[in-house]
Amino acid sequence: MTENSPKSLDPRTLAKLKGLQLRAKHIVEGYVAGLHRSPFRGFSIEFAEHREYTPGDDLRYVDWKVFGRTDKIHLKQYEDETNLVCYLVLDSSESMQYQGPDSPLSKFEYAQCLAAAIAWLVLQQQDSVGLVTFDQILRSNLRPSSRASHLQQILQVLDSTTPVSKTSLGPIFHELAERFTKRGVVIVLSDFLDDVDSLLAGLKHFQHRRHDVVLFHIMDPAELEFPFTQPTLFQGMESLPDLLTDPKSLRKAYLEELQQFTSQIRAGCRRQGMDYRQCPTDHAFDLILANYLSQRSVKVT
Amino acid sequence: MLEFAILFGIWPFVSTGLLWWGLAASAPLAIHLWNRRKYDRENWAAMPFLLTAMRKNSRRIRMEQLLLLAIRTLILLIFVAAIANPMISFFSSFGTSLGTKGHTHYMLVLDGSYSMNYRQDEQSRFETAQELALQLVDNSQQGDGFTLLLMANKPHVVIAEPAFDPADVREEIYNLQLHHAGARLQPTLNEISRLLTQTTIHQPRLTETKLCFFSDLCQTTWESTSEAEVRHLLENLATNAEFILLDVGQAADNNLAITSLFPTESLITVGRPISWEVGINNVGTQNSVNPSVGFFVDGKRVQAQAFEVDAKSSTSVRFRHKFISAGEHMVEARLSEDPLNIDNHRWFSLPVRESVRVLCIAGKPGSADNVAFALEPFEHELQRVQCEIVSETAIMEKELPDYDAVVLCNVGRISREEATVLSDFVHAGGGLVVFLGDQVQAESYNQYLGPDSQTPILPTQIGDIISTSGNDFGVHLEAGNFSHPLAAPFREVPGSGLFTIPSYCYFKLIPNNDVQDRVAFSFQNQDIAVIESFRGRGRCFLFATAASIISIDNSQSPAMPWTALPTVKDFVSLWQEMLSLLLSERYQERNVLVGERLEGNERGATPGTSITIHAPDSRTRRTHQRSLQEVGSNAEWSYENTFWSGQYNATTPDKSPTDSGIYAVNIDPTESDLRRFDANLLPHQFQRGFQHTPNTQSLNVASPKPIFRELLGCVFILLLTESILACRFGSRA
Repeated sequence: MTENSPKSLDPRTLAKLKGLQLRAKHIVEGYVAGLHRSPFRGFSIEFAEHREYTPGDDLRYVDWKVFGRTDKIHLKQYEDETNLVCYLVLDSSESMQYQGPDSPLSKFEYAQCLAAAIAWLVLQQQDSVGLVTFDQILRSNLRPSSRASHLQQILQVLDSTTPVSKTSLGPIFHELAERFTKRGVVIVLSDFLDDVDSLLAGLKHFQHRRHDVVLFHIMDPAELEFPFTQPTLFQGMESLPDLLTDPKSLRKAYLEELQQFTSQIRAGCRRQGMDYRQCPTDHAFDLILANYLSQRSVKVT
Repeated sequence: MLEFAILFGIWPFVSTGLLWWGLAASAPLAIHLWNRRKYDRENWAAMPFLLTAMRKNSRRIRMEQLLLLAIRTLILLIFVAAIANPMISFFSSFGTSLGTKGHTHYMLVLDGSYSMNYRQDEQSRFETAQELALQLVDNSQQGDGFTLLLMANKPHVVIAEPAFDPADVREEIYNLQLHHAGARLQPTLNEISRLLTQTTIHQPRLTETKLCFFSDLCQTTWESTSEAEVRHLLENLATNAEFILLDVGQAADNNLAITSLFPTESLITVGRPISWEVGINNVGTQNSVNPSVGFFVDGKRVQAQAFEVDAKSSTSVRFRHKFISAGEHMVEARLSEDPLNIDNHRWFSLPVRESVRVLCIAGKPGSADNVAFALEPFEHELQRVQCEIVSETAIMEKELPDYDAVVLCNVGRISREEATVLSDFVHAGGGLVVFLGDQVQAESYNQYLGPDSQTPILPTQIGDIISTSGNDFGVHLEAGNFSHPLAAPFREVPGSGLFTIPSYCYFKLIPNNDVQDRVAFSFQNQDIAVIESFRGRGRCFLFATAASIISIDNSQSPAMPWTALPTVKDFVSLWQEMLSLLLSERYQERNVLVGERLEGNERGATPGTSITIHAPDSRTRRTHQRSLQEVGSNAEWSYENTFWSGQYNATTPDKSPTDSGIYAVNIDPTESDLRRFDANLLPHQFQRGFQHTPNTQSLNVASPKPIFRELLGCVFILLLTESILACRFGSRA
């Protein structure tokens, strides 16, 4: 990682760059400079280590010799992944359009950048990456591919997507779980502003399909801190009603509600073994990525 | 700006104009409403959380906003009130009447009439008045001055110059004692006027004056407010002072009073039963239930009688008592206790002797015989009157103070020394009777005893001898309208020999027009026959004619006695009445009303010797020293502070307490009438500051001090509270 990479990867700096490709390049180059090893592991011929069997694992990789010695079922893992499939699932509902008063990027722009960067990273490792955007319905669906030119398609779809409508996460996730036939890593980038139970049920469906699920919870700092002091008319997005109130008197109660919401999601993810990462839109991308990917490296090793 | 004070209840404000700033209190409300119109807009994604939070907290938020709004409004209101410098009023019901900008002179006038001793609920009206006065002092401002006055018949000034130390004033109020007398408004107002004039001169910084009267509003005291002179005084005082009247009285429906106690005759000697009459008045509105009156002699109860007396009526009860020893005695009549106890007692002091001693000085042998017979006409085992007939030289030889009366019968000349002795005797309370006669040289009488002499004992000049020669029937006595007490008993006996028996010769008595001198009898030609004079504590009767028939008028032919008066039966009666009158003075000097002066003389005492007076007192026995003053050849003393009824003892150092002179001081029973004066009839000066406060609890007392500091403290506390709450609520409502 270069000395100035944190600065260059700061969303405020990145916001000055025009074009998603340029932004993604910035992010990836800044990050890759410090990256030595891919955290995304697949299944290949070069043996790397054993892993305890979990239901749903492919029995082809069971190490029977170990089973014979220990009566425990272990799978053989291999050093290099050649068939990793990464599904980028991007929420493009209206709420993602929110950009707080002090935020450099809207939640959607932040998610765009993050998605582009991840796609770039995955493709650089010759793995496959796909992209799905949705609100109430699926808006676009790029099948996973490991071709270098696939990045352009992904960036184009990302660029052309505009968040306008309500969201409906649960049904969408159920639908996607059915569509993602090849086992892989499902990376969801969303503000998850929907019914928590429905959301977790949908995510569980991915888990059921033996996908590795990663949630990037995109939040605007204003949503996290509710810094408003003047009487404000809050105009609801996604067809929700307006509310004129004194924000200071409501701040504590709002934060409690938000905390309860995020806690439910965190708890749900923890129960289902999914990775959850909250991404405030004023946080540097490389920090988000580095933090997440390093943790993932620990997990997979 | 009075409206503001009324508007704000009981607080007067020094700077009422500043109260207009109170309108600023509407600012928080205006700001709140303005804020509701002015707001930011924000597209908001996380709306579900906001809506949920709002739904759960809307009521709390509204209450917090209202609380903050109220506190902020209150801060402004209290701040404005503080800068207007409010004064907590003295007695709240007076509203703004006691609001003051400078220091105030409070003249505390407590009604000292004995009706204030009326007790209800264990506290007398006077004690209530004291408590209220103490409260008033406690709640005064620093720098206020107090004078203290007890309203009585003669107002008693306790603190004449304004006192500024509340502790001193408190002590004086606490030590105040009720006088057993009435109270007169006019002298009190005169005294107040005098004190105010002095205060204005010497204490110019006391810019306001408040006259605080504490009274039970008894009719006897306050009815004088209708008098023109009192009204005039009130008008004058009201120009510089504010009147406040605290009525501590209440309706009284139960009070018996002893109005009199006296023996029915004056000749009281050992061993002779004497009747005593006790006058009782029921001044209440209820009939008294089974009342009784006790009769006490020298502090011991000897008799008691039940009686009946209807409401608003009076009765008398008679006791008969025989003194068994000579000396000073105190008789007391006592009623059982009622709410006003002061008028349930009456005392009578009397010196009882073995017999009454009369010295008859005969200028000519036999000239006093008729007098001696008239004094003690009957033979008794116990001689009531001891009459001693001596020659005229005995005036200087005898100790006249040993006698109750001295009778001069046809004494020819009176020397200067004799005149001095007689004068001292009369001034000390002795009775002197002077009969003239054929030996009398009028010039010496006029020179040494006449009205123009140095020892003016006689009421008239003695003029020429009037002889009724040529008139065989002489002149006889007339009693006019029988107004004189000596003549009054003969009103019912018009055929008495006194008025039919003739006198043929007499001295022309030339009156001196002294109002104290009273003619008892005159001759039918209107010349004075018997005249009475009061000198000192004694009295003197001067007869124009002789005391016996041996005074002969030789100018007539044949010679005739001066008078045949001593030979008539009623001459005895006349002497008995006269002796009673002469002796009654001795009782009267021992029995005075509250406020009257006690007087006494000590034979043989050295002038300057101290006399100790033990006065009755509800709290203690007070001792007063009085020095004997040389008056003529006597050593006399007097004592004026007879503020309380009861027994007073006067002793000299060389006498044991049992030999002390006993004096009875009684109340004037008019104050026993507890009828209340109609407050509506009070002069307007009293109407504004009138408050009925029958007990101390009913008085709404507030601090009179300025309270802007306290209000600013409240503002500070509210500001602190507002900051904490606003921080906690997170609101700028």
